[in-house]
Amino acid sequence: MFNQTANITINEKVDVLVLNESSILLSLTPDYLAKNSQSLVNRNELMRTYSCSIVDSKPDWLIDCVLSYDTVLIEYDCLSVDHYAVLAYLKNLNIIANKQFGKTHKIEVCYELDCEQYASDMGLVSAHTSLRTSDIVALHTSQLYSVFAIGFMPNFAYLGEVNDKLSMPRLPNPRLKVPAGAVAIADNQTAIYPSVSPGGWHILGYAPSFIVKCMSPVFSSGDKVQFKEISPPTFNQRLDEYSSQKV
Amino acid sequence: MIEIQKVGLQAQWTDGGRRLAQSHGYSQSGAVDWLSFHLANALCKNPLNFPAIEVMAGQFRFIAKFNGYLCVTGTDCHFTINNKKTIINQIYTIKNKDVIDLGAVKKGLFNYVTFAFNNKRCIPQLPTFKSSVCATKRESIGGLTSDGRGLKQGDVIQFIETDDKRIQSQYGFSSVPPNQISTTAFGEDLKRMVSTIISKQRSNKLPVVFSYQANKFENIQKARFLASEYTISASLDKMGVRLDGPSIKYSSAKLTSQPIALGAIQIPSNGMPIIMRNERQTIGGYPIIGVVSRLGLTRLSQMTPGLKISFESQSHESALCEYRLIQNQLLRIMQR
Repeated sequence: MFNQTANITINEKVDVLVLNESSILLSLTPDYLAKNSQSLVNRNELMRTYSCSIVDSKPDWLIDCVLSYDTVLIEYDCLSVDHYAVLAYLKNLNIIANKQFGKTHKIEVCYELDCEQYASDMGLVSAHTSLRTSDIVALHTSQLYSVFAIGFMPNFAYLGEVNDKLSMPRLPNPRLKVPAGAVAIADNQTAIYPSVSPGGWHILGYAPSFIVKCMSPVFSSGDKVQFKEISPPTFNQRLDEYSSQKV
Repeated sequence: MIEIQKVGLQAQWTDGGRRLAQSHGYSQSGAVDWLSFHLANALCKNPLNFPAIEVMAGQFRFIAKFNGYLCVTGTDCHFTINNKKTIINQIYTIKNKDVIDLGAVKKGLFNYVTFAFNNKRCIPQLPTFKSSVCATKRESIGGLTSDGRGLKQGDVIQFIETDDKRIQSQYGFSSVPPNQISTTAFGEDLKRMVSTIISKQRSNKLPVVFSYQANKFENIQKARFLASEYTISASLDKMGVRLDGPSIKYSSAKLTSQPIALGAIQIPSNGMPIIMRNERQTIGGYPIIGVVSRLGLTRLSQMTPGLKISFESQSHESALCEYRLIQNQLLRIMQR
């Protein structure tokens, strides 16, 4: 009465859990995880090959396919298929290697803003980590980040993993309004706020391409992101450029 | 076309929801009370996921500027055409300049308005986002002006003629020729079919498929979850419904964020269940004890704060059977 349906193994790596009449959840098998102590980046990449291959093969019963870190939700039209049909599909699915999917986004960030319009927590991060601003910027821009998941709001990409030295807790008092374009960190993750929203992450800088909304790149899970430091004059120049390109 | 004269709390176009939108962080959206929404379309002989107007808490009035048919389903409300009292779950012939008014709702929340035309198939002229006409205010996306706002006074919606082939490719369902609608053919058989379907909704028991982290909750917690009554709290919208009642404890390790299915029941740290609905966020880190079935979601959709519900355990197989049975009955109504 209390027990859910057991996981169904489709291969040595992936398990399927039936969630309800129209969706299943894919995750890595405990056996596989026990034998291969995988980092979150690797687990995410492995599950991404599944989500990308599924979306790529466009079965007509597919309603949505959502990757979050190391699990994938498949929602299907349960009037045309049931979970047996989806399992059979998964067993025969041609998993396409990682490299064929995903873009690398180079995103310019100005780390030197701190004003009423563009609030910054650089001082707090510096105090918490005992790092100089220049070191923080170097650590934040040196890493090629993976898009682990997209959620919280449209196009909000959870990027990881941030260097351990930059690991930050959330703000004790979350901001009611984080400006669009804010680049912020929390735990071992970083993100860019695509539009104004409440938020409790520490803000390091601002990405001009996200401030002029129609210029922002669209993320997909598994994309890569590299941040590039720009100076305040370049930041202002970019804002002007982007605004003039706005249709 | 139709012209909106009055909007109460909220009214907007809806349909079966977006496709491949959650993978980019957009909510799924779609009609909250799918059963009433599908029934309205079935009665109008439209494909079941055809665009309809979803009215929240009544107080909605518009003028028809076409000759054709109309159907209103959902919660019981004070519904008039040209000030003449009319009942829901029926098909009405509409003439140019008719005034359709949905007054206060007696209880419940949602009504659905669908349209059909004489001898032709027309669709409302609306922009689509991810294969759907739905609008989500929170995301500022979709709807008549593509900015997520609901309908407002003065809005005019045109209908354009289309063919079954196009509709089939966009909405997936095959449809029957539109010229067979007859308001006089609303015989006893059809009335019985409609009331059979509606009666499935009239219950405060929500079937739940234990899934996600269900096995990580202790049995005593699951027993409490099934044995208790929960009250619908005032914190209720299309994203989710928070419940008040006995607290459910989750003592296993912290979770990595996971994708959230429609109907998922999150248990936050205060132990008060939250049932996730059509406009939910796509991922979340709270443990999930199970997923409310489609039938359970249609029951929940018309419930307002203060009402009491309880859960019952169901297998995903029987949830699917139940859903398909209702869909079969809807198809019979459509193909009558």
